[in-house]
Amino acid sequence: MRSLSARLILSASVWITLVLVIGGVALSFVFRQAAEDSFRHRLEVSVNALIAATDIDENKHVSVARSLGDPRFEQVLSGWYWQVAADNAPLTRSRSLWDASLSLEAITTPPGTFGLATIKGPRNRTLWAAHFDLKVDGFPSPVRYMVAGDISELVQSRRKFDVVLASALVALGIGVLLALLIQVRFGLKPLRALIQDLEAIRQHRANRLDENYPNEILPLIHVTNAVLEENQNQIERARRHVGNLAHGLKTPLTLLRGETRTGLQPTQQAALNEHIDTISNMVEHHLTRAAAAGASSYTTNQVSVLDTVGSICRSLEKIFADENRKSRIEVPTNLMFRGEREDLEEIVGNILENAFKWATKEIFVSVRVEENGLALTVLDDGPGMPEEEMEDALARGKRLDEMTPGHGLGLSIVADLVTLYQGELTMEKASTGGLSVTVLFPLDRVG
Amino acid sequence: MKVLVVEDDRRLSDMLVAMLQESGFVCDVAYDGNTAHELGSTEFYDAAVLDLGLPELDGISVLQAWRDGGCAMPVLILTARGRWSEKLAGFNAGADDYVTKPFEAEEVSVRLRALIRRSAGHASPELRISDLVLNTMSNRATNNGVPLSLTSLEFRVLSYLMHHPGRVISRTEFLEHVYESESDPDSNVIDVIIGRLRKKIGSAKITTVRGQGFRLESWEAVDAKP
Repeated sequence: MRSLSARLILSASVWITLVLVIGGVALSFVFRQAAEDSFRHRLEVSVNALIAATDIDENKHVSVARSLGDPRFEQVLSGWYWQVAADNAPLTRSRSLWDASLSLEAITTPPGTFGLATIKGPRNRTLWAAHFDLKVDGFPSPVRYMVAGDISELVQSRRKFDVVLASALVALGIGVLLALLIQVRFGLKPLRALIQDLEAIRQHRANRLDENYPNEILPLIHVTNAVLEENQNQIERARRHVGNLAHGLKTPLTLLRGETRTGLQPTQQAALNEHIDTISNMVEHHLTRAAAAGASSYTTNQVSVLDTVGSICRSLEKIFADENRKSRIEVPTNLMFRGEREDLEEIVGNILENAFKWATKEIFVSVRVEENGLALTVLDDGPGMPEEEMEDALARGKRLDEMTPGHGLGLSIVADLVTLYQGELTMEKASTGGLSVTVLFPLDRVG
Repeated sequence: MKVLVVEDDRRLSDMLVAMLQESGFVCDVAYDGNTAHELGSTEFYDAAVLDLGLPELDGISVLQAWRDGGCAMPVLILTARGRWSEKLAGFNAGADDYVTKPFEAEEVSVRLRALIRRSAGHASPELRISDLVLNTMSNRATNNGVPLSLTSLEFRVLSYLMHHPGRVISRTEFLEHVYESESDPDSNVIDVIIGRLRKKIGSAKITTVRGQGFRLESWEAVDAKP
């Protein structure tokens, strides 16, 4: 079963139902016992009263001096009867019996004790009959004093009790289930909070879970935080390795390039240099990706967009001082980018460097928050880029040695990074005739 | 022009120095950050090539220390990683340009020459003082359109003069910028070279300022002389 709530509610329902059913059966049984005991007791009391009220004279004439108290003994066929009999022949009987008699032929009990039996009475009704056999002078066999009552009364009260009991138990069951639902919702509330907290991490609004959770969930929080931290450390380690690897590879490549300067034909030199470029570009490309791959997940860093764009533009103006290329920047002062500083610098740096390389005089950078995200646009007044080359630059995962030199590597790194940030990179011909590059980051990247 | 090369990999620094010397630069080398810091703060260089990944004191710290100490020479940084974060750290610390490894030897010397020229206040790669022209890209000099045949020392002295026209340059300053720090040349050497240069470009163009040094006159200044 996949739902925790359903699991809790179902298992609790099974138990509650079971307990209520067993409880109901037990209560019904106890009530039945009590009702039967009381019925029997009434019969026995009535038998005692009958014995006390019966007079037998020397002519063996039997008379019952006074009423037994219950008017039903006087109503004809009321269901309540008494009878005094000897040798199964009634000596006297209640008015309610009219001309019928109670038969207890087969039942014998030792004299001086109460006996109880179920018999069929008038109108074929089931009766409980209590009797007491007493030796009376002048009678060869004991005189049997009997009182019988219709048990339909008992059955009815038992039924009534069962109905009330069942309704009460069903109501109780429903009440308990409702309380359970509320309890489950309340009990699982921290889990919903946990989902929200994890979502915040996914959306880069937090980088670890708050420890403000119930004791039962705290171990999970600690483990999750440890995993997140381990992940961050791994990213850091990967970055360090990447740096070391780059350094380790680039120096021998530079030496190799130096070696090509002597003792080689110009064509061989060019071919070798091309291979060195390919290796170097591949190393750069994949290392940049590796460094950025993990970074886009858990960061809560906020980077000032204006500072980043500003310092890159100043650096590039320095590099392109001879060409006297100038940049114009339109970036809101307080705009923050939620992500890794290095990645934003890499994206902005590569796009701007490309623009500076191709511009005639001016580069225009604008960053603004739009309805669908954070848009960064860089325009230059250079010769623009041919369509095929735009496609090349945008084609992620394209083999680097297939790429045309010029705009190539930098923009393909940008395309990769932007994808990692779930953003979009578009290129088009600018109104100035040059290239217009736009990066659109999702809104959750706005700090 | 004297350049400080800071690179911890001996083979790479040897290669760089050989290539820079070939292009007419005079080079001092530092293999670690502390030495680089010390040399840059005490010696005079026209520019520095600084690797960022250095033992002891990293390149960014060296650069920061130089700038904090008032050292304004142009600095070209060498980065192993092409990441912009590293380049920006360099620029923010005061770098003037960067080259990413694996670089082409010529690229380093071309960029260095441009940096030196710009730091002396010249916007164009061609330095022109009257009819004397020095192309910093090709390392060639012409006088009246005729290519000058110069020895490497003569070229260095002329180049230094042309980077600082109209300013009196002492013999010591010449020695500091055209010779390696370890070498100990006689200061008469400069007089000999100036003499040879005067013969090649015209004696009126370089004036001797008694007790102070030499000055390359601008066009107007030459004209004004009787």
